[in-house]
Amino acid sequence: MYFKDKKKILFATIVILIIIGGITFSIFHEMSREDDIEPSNTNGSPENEYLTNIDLELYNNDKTIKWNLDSEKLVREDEGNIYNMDLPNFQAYENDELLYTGQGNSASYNNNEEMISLSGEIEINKNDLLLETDRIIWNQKNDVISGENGVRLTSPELVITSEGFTAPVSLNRIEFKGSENKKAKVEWR
Amino acid sequence: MQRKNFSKIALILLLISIFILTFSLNILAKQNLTADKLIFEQTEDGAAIIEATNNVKMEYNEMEITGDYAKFEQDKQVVTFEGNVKMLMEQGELTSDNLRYEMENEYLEATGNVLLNAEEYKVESNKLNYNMAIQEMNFTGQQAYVEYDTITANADRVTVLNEENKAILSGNVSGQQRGNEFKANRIEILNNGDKIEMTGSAQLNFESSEE
Repeated sequence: MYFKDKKKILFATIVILIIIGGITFSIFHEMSREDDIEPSNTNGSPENEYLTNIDLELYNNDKTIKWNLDSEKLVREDEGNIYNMDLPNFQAYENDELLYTGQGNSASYNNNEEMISLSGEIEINKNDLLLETDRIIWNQKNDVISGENGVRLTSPELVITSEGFTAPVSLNRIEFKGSENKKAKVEWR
Repeated sequence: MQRKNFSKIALILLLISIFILTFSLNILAKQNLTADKLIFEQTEDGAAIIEATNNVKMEYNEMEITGDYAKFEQDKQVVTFEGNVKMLMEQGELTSDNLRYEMENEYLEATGNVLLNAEEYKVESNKLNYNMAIQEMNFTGQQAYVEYDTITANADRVTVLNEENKAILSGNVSGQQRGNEFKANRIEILNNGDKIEMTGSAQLNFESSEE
């Protein structure tokens, strides 16, 4: 009798644990799946010449916002039209006031197209905001920064996720765009 | 002795599991807004303002609100919807042109072509103030129209007290029940229409038996 009860209790406990474990796992799996940001691709362009410990200054059209872009290694290609950088860090200033800082795995500046793109685990810190994405492009012709391949904005009170975003260089108004499969979403605490 | 220990361990495991499940469900408490496009801005104080456009949908606990446009003010905990607003809630489906919901106060205001389709009644008006904390709805603006079981009526104001199964119609009340017309300053519909109480210059016109 005792042995039978013990087996019953053990069996019931295991069943409950399996159900609870399954529910918990599926909940967290679903949450983490939504939060995933697609990994970046890197390309290996032929190197012409490279410089180390480079600081690059970029300005928006009306010269009110400055980006200080620094990298340990800069590779110059296409007769100086393209600059590729490894592990870039950047700081954005508006009239010498720090707006935000950021980093990524690589950056590429195209002088002809007036476009700078950063790729791979981009993180931008603006006050108490953290903007994460896989790739950002600053089009200097219209001074619009766009992010793609999954975006996540985290503030102390809310989290926004979407496929991509566009914003002025100041990043003071960010438009998050969803796709057919994935809407732009804000969750708050 | 061994059996006692085993039971204790099983009980502890069960409690831990229940805690994990409760924690998980708490994390999943729905408070989100989705749309084709979200625009994020911050006020000077750093509070977030989010504007949502196209296919906007908010899930907030048991409620679901959809519309063409929404604005979420994080510091005030207020969300405002505009255009083709539809709200699904425990009481039924509410549609209106505009809707403002104060989350902390559990207070809702709907304006423009307000229509509440509940299981046991239907109310149309131009404005609804709904205090969810005490489950009191006030329909005002022009003459509110109500269908409550066999009763149809118009009034300046319709108050629905969900918890008391009661509706109070006040101001220029006129209507009919099973062909019998009535007028009063105020009527109370109790127990889902089983009982009606009229006050203030009440007038009843019974349907003629010849008819």
